[in-house]
Amino acid sequence: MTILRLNKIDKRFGGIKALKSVDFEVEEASIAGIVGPNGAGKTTLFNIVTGYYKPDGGYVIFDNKNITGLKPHQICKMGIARTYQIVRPFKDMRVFDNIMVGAKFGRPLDKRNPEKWAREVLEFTGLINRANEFARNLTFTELRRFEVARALACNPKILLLDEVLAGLNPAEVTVACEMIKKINKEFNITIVIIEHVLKGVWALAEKVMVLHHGEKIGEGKPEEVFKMKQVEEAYLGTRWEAVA
Amino acid sequence: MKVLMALLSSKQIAALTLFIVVTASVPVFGGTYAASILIIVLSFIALVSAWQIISGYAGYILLGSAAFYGLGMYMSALLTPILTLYGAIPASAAVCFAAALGLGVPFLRIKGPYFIIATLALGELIRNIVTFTETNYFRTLGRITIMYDLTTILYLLIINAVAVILAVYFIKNSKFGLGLMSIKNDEIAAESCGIPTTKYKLLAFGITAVFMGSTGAIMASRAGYIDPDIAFPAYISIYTLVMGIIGGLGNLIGGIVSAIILTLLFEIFLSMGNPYPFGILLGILLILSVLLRGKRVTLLRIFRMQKITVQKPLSPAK
Amino acid sequence: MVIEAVGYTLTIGMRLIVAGIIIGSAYALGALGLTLIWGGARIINYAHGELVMIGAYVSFWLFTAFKVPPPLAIPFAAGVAAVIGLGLYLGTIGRLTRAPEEMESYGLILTFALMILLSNSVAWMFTSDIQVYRWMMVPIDFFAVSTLLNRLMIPIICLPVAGIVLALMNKTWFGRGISLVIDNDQVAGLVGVNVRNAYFGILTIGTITPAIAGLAWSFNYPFSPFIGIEHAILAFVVVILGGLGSPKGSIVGGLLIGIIETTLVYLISPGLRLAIAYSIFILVILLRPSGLFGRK
Ligand SMILES: Nc1ncnc2c1ncn2[C@@H]1O[C@H](COP(=O)(O)OP(=O)(O)O)[C@@H](O)[C@H]1O
Ligand SMILES: [Mg+2]
Repeated sequence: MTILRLNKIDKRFGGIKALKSVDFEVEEASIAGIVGPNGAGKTTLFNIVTGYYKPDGGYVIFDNKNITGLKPHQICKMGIARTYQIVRPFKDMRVFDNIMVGAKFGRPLDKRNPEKWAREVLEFTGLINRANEFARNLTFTELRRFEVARALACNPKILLLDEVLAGLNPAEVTVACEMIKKINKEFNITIVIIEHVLKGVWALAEKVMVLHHGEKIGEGKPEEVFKMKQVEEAYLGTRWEAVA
Repeated sequence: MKVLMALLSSKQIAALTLFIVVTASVPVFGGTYAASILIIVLSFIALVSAWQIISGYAGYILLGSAAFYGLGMYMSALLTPILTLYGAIPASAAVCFAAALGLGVPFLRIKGPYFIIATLALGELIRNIVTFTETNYFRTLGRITIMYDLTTILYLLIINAVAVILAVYFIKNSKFGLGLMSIKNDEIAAESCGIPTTKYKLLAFGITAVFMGSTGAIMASRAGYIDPDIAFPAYISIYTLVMGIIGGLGNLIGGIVSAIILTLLFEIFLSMGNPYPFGILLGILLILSVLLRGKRVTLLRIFRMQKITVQKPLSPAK
Repeated sequence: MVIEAVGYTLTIGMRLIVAGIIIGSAYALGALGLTLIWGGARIINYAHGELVMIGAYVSFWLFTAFKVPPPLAIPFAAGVAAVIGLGLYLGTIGRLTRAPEEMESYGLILTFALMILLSNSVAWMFTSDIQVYRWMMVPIDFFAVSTLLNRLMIPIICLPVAGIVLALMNKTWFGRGISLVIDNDQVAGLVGVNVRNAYFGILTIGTITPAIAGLAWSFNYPFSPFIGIEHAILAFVVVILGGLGSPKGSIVGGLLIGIIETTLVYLISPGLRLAIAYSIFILVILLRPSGLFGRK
């Protein structure tokens, strides 16, 4: 079943066309990837799905409901949570309270206790021993995990991850990938992950969309997409980075 | 009462009772002069505590307390003849709430330092408009208000102050308060965690306005005569902000302590016939609180500066 | 009939524009300082209006006590303002790490403190009474507009000073360093600009220009120790209209606000002068926070 469907999404910023008629579908319980060079429009796409920008054309269907034009907090409550490429912790609040915000304000937890859930999330992401620390004191790598933790605490049906692997060393990438897979399997949460190189989503995504200058130039399994000519051209010059 | 007992610790209840007993017995033991000073102390306690909601918690630094204080005064002056003061206080507070919701829609979209200046301009704008309407349409400079006796005013202000303190305390420990603090830290992230930021900010602004308005409404019946300069003085806006900052942003007790100390200091200078050295002292205290931040200077321990995070202008979500 | 009406409107229009430029030149010079401090040192100077007020009082005092004509008082007003600028420098940049967050919040509190400190000090020295003094108050015809010579002295003082500051910024090595710092202080540091000196320059120029504007204001309009707020708010409008950190923008914005204000005041009511100015300010903030010429 399709849980998220983008239909002919257009977005302009002044003169620049950030997105040109982009279609994309995400299967429930799958992991999907979006890749593309810097400025391709990946983050803009997330901003449209989460309601920060209104698309100039097209619409977004989530869980069989048209969510175009809803406010970000409404969309979060319906079950879409996201992380930010540039992390946005509530710096002057304790890590635990940060997570509690997600637990209390995100998609309703049914009968679960928010505090218990928050602790569960912290344990899962390995931040439980930092629970009483102020978020401003977290390290770079911890902040990356923290972003995922807070989004996870929102109890989403679908989790949008914006370049959560960027800047991590190979060992950390492996750990993070394991964590993402576990979120997908254990919590049964659909995942869309943005990376600017294909390699980032290679081991994770069942399906990848490649964006370039706001256009979808390829879609399919990672290894299929890798062979596509137009994708290779888009990455020309950065191809080695894309592969290596 | 039972609810209160359940929600407050025994220490807090003791402190609150002590506060009520001490303030309420001032007219009995201290006489009129002490009572009249206490009235000013109590109104600043209410103002600065109310200020904490929108500024200390939600992070929108309000420099326009005078706008709601004065609106409350004017509404009370108009309504007390009809409703008596007891009816006029809630009515004025309700008007302030409505005004805050109306003004909040455009104003709370203004971020950071712009908000501070805009609210300063707001207070001055309202004062100028009221002056203009009064002189041109009502052909008057000021209005006579119905006076109530000192003790009544004092007791009303005690109730008012306790009500604000309790309200602020409960907000701080509620889901609403958690939402406000997230907004102060990062409004975009707050929204994407499911917090209805616009609604929360408006509500916070409204509650702040309610208590500033009720304070003004009571003070109108203390004044006997009001005009725009009495109702909307810029110093109300400035002192409220200074007390809030010196006491610590979001620090309820700190704000109250600095309201007490600063008002008493002000009254001492005023009684010597020259209030200006107080302004100078206030400026120096503020400067010291920045320069000595983090250092353990005893006097400044109570006057501890808290880090103030001014919201940055809303940037596109990255 | 029609021609008369058109002629009448033109004369009125002319008058409003001249009056607007006259008052706007003072706004422009004042705002020049605010925009430098705001755009360059990332400090919103809440004490801006107090500097205007101080300039007015220095001139007033020298004139009434020693008969010094206001233009000759410029160095004194500038000197007093520069001392305040030095204090601001020592209190902010000299003390704090240059993390933008810190600068913003502590700069805010410090200038706020300065605002309270200065207005109360002047009130202590001169009482809080409203002051007026007359200098060059003779009628004069100027471009078919009859006005007073003292009014005309406002642009005669303000525009050249503004010109000197602009020239200093564009033509001298030091001034170009300041411009670079306004653009991007890290890059400026890399290309060899002494950033600390530049900050010092920014704060000094930024405190001097409003004081001179206040001096020009003082022999035209009444003033008191507590007029700061209205001047500050007006300067904030100008700076936001003209774009943060843009000296030219503040000149254009100042003249523009002068003209808009005089026109609206003429059309609506003089009693609402400040209400109109504040409304313009709030509208500008709401509708065009990045300024007329700013990037959106
Ligand atoms: N708020 C905005 N205003 C103007 N342009 C924007 C805005 N957000 C994004 N853009 C532009 O849209 C394009 C896509 O940006 P983005 O989605 O952030 O790219 P990516 O995340 O793929 O690196 C870029 O050219 C960027 O400059
Ligand atoms: Mg991006």
